[in-house]
Amino acid sequence: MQSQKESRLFLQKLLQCPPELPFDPKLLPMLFAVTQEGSHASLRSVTALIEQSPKLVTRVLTVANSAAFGLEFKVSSLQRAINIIGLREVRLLVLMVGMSSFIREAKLPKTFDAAAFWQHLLQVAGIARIFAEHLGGEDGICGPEAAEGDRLIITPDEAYIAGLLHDVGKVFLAAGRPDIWEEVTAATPGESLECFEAENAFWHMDHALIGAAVLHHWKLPLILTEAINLHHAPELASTFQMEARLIAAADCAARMPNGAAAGPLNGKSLSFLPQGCDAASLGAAVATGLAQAADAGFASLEA
Amino acid sequence: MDIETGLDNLLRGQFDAALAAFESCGQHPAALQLCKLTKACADITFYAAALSEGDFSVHAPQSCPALSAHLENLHAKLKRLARQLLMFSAGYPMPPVNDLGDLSEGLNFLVNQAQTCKRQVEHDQNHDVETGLLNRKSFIRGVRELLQTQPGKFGLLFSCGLDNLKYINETHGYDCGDLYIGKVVDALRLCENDSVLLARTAGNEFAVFAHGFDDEESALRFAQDNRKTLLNTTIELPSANVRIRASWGVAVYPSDAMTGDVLMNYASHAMFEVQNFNRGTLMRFNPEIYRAKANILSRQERLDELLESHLLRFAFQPIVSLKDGAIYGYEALMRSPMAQFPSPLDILQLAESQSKLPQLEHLTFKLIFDWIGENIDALGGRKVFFNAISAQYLDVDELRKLHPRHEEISRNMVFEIIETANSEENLASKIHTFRQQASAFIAIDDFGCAHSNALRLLNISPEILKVDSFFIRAVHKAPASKRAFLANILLYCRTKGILTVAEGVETPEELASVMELGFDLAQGFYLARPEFSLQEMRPELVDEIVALARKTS
Repeated sequence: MQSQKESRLFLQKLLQCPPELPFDPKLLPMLFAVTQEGSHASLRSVTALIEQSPKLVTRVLTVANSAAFGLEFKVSSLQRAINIIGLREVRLLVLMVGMSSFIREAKLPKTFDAAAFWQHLLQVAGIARIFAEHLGGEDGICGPEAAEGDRLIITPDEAYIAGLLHDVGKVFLAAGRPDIWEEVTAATPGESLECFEAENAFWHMDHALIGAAVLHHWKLPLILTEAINLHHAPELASTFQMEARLIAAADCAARMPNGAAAGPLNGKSLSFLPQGCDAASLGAAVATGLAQAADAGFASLEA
Repeated sequence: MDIETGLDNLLRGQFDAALAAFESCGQHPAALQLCKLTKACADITFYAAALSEGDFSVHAPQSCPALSAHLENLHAKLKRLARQLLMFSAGYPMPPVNDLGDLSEGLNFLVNQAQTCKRQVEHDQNHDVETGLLNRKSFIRGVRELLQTQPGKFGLLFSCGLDNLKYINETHGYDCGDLYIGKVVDALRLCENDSVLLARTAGNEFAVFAHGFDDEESALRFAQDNRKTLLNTTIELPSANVRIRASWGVAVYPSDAMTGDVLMNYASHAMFEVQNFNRGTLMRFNPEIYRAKANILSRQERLDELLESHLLRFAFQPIVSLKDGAIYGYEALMRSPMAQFPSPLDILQLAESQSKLPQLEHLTFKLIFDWIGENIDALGGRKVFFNAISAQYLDVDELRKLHPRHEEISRNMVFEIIETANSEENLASKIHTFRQQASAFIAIDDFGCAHSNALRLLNISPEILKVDSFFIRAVHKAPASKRAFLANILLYCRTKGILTVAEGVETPEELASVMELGFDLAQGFYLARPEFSLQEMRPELVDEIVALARKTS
């Protein structure tokens, strides 16, 4: 049992020298701003910031020239590549590159299974997108028609990003305090105690909180950081509670034994979703969505 | 053991003892219930103790369902509060607390206070306290951000330095100075909008960056308009009405520079140029002037090299007797073989600005003494005129350190006093002592200009007086008053036995004139230019002088 003082110091230290990104962190809020309507941020400034990072330039150009876009000609200018891919995809790409970079650079303990970690992130991201599409769509139970507290504001794309980022705190924890990481994983072998509970018991702080603090430091919008912050305790959320519940549900759905792709949603996952949602059709949508993703080799994109 | 003892123990909080007492009277109808009650009390006490220690990992006991519901509720609230406070301490926004009754209000108040304090600190870090404008650092950051949002437009950064702030502070008091600054800020704010940034970059300097122009002309017009507004502003101080007096330096994005800090640097540079040479005007950054200034900086290292490696030579310009055309002596003129220093004045200026004059003077004295020591036979009786930058080496003890044969050498030397001495009396007394010990001559250089005035002539009474070329230039056409002045000086010198030298004789007319006036010696390009070797006079010039001398006598 550590005191809260220690967790506070850890957070402060982490935010003073946050993990290094292979691009200017200012790019992140700008990417979210530029995809918003009526924003002042300009596409040119985004391009200018991407240009500064050779890693991003190569990535964007590779994707634009990849088979997925099936162009007959070769794209060599960054501006054109961004136009072809679309800003939303570029945003995702930037986040992927950033995450894979700091996961690779982080001094993770040997027991940290990065491949399984990625797989979980991608699954949660995929499920979160499907949930957001179904629940927040025009005729969804949390759609534009729903009452204020039940309305889902997050877009499917953003839900995907939230799912992708929801466990980044684990990386920071494992890299920054491997001792605590070891102890927590040792305490949760049988899944009887979830790791966030072990973390909370250990120092009043879980990976969700750490991740949200760092993402907020990088100026990601609150709709993402709040959902991530409370994805293990959505009942605590005062704003964006529906988003937190969505990520929590996706997280639980992805934890289903014997592979996520099969069967209906488990009870725990459903408990986070709004009452009255069509569990069967959601489960089916998740199953087909994950199967498609597996076929497309999506999980190998960043491996 | 009976129920009574157990109840006593229970009330005292001794749960183990109470439990033991109740269990021992198992036949009593209430015993079982009392056991449960005791257990529940023990559980709740343990739980409450853990919570009060701040340990949230405990779980509310299930032994008393009615109570534990409340406890769990409180527990959850405390947990959430602890979590939110932890996040808040890491800079994460704190959502309002609304389910803790009276406590909520107090907590929200504290959170707001903390945020206000944080904002205040951030504001103070980025702003000038007195005027509330941005400070230099945050201004440059702001410029960078503006440039990022609209990289394709034209931007203009001008630096505006108040020229009369010091004057207002001194004549009207610092309160008026503050008032003046406040009014200037008001006037500057007239042009403020979303794409204009204002900053106070120093006590009397302001910077404005305006972005989003379509061409350079409209950007420059903005600066001109702003300048007009400011210049037309009258400020009412309690004691007087004053006008804003300022100098402007302007740099344009992207023509002059692409980044905020370079633009700022260029605009300030242009403003300093204006303040030094053309106060009250506006100047666009000029890369040529900037490079020339940067060149001076690079020359600082060259000066060190010069001093260390003794990269100095002397050129010798003859000083001619106007009686017979013979060479009376040579003036030793400092020259550097380094391309950075085409003129000896450059070296002097740079050495002065670098506070390296003493080192430079030591080097020149050392070199000239060495040179004379080697060439004393070639000189014969002819003197070497030498500029003494200060009076420091007009001292036998110092000269002894320079050269073992200093006495012999001194006989051939004429020390020219050019120094702008702080105190004429000190200079005079120093020279007086020097003259008693050494046999060197003393000359007053550039007589008639600056410190080289009549007072110095009287105080020092030198052997030789060199009259500045200002009096000699076109002396044949000079007004009668100037000639009369010269004639009187020459008369004075003749009665005192002081030799007079006409400096800067460049034409035959000037030569004829100075001979007519009665100068003893002359120096100038018409007679001979400085050369690195000791030159003789050209025979035709000697003939000319002799002829003129015969005519005037």
